[in-house]
Amino acid sequence: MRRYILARFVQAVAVLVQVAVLVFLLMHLAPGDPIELMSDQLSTREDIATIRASLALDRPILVQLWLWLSRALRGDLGRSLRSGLPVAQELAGRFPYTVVLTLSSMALAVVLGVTAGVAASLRRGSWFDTALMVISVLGVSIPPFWLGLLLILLFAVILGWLPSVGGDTPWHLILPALSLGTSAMALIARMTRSTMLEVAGEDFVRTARAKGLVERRVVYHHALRNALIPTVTIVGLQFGTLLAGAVITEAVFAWPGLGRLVVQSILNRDFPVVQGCLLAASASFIMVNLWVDVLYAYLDPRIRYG
Amino acid sequence: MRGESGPRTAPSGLGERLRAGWRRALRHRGFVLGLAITGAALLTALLGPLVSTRDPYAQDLRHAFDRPSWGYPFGRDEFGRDLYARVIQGSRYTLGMGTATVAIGLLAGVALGSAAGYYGGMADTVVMRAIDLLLAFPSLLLAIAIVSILGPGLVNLVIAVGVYSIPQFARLVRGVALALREQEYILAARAIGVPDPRIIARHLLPGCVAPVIVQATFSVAAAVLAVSGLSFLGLGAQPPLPEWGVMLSRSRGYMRLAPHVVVFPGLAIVVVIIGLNLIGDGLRDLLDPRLRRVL
Repeated sequence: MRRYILARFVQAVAVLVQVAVLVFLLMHLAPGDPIELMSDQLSTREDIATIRASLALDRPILVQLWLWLSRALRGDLGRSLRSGLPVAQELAGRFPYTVVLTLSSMALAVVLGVTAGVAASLRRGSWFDTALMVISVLGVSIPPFWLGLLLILLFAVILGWLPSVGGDTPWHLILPALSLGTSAMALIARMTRSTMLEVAGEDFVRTARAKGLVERRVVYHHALRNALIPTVTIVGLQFGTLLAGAVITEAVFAWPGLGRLVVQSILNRDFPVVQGCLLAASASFIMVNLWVDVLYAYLDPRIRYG
Repeated sequence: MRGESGPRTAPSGLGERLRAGWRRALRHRGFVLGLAITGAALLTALLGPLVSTRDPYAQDLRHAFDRPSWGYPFGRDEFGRDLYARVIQGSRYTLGMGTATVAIGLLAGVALGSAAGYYGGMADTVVMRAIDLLLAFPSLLLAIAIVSILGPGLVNLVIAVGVYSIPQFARLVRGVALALREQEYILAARAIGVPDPRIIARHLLPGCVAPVIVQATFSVAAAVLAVSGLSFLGLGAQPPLPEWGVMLSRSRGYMRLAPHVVVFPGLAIVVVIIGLNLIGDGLRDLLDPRLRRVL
């Protein structure tokens, strides 16, 4: 197990470095000179040259890459071209909001999705099962940003129960988390239902029943534990979807996270900040998938020993 | 769906199989419903001017925010423009962009995937490493990264979302190609000296048709979501184009005043995506139930 985790860890770090290089190269392929954009107020050619030199933009690209990578490793991601603040500082202010939003919508999706999926599989063919399947098709088809607008309309405008925009109190989290988590919830419910139905026909479930275990123990201890394995994979992949979806959801709810920062920075051509956001998001996605793989190995011994 | 998969069959057998498949498909309720919805959406996009004769750009500020009525079934927006005409016109942008992005992803993905799977070795390693790298970006963030380089806009958005959908096709086709390349009919073709590109085109790719069609259907649905979402953010289509995501982002400020301005464009997106997802689910069940595990 330890060797497996170590190998996966090394692999994750390698991917992260490659992603960092790719992000850097992408940003330097971008047409449009950020310095020209910055220099609206600056007058002289010398000023521009000085800034270019201070950002090392006059050095060969490989030197720039090396400088950037070695600084990034020390947590220095450069400065925003707009605000002049260190990118790391800008990220640190925003990232926690995105993490909270992503994790709470994921928690919502897992708890409700697995519960609904198990319930539906136990009542196969019932009205509940049918209703859940219809809702889940709707759930994966509804754009999160539109669902967000509808939720604002219903809960903030018409009923007045919850605040619509901002990120000051826990109440502000409910609607964004719901609108972001719905499609993952629908997917997880579908997946759990179908794997539960598959597992229910397996020998080990029949054996568990045959040796006289109570039904609850058969379902939750024997069937669900095995049915959850594919669900865990979905959770890992969906984390990426949620992280990227947060960009859009944050725009709907004026949630002060990374997503709004990245969109603003793209529109402003503030490349260092875009770079930092992409790197932070990819790094957390890679880390989550590392954890998912470890969890997977824990749930399925065949991987550990295979 | 097509009889091209597997070794060639006699024409009469092929026609028979197609007819049998079609009959089976018509019994699949979800598939039929999806086909009806998507067919209607495609017809609307193609015949737009016949379905709505009004100008989607014509403003009439005296009638701004008019509620839905018989003459204006979806009501009017903040500039008094006919929302029904705009939603109809918007179907062209949304469906057009969705299809174009998937065409990019499909062509590039199938080419890369079949080369990687068929040749194996170095080609496989290089292609799959590159694909893994693309997949290390959390989903849409890859498209957002590409838009940030190319700059916001309709064409750039199509390219960005197209690149974003390459990995799924590449991995899928590579998987099938790996399984097929040791099959006897392919070994036989190689043994009699058929050139590689011809083997890939004539013998390998037909085996990928079923999963690729299923994946393409789901991908168009995902692309419609992505395209409207990024346009909503201001990174794709720009106003006053009646693209559904743009319409939503422009009108959301007025939704307290006139909820209908956000209801109809969003509903249009949902209907199109449901239609495509139902077709995808149906095709997967009909073509190859085993795909349930992968797609």
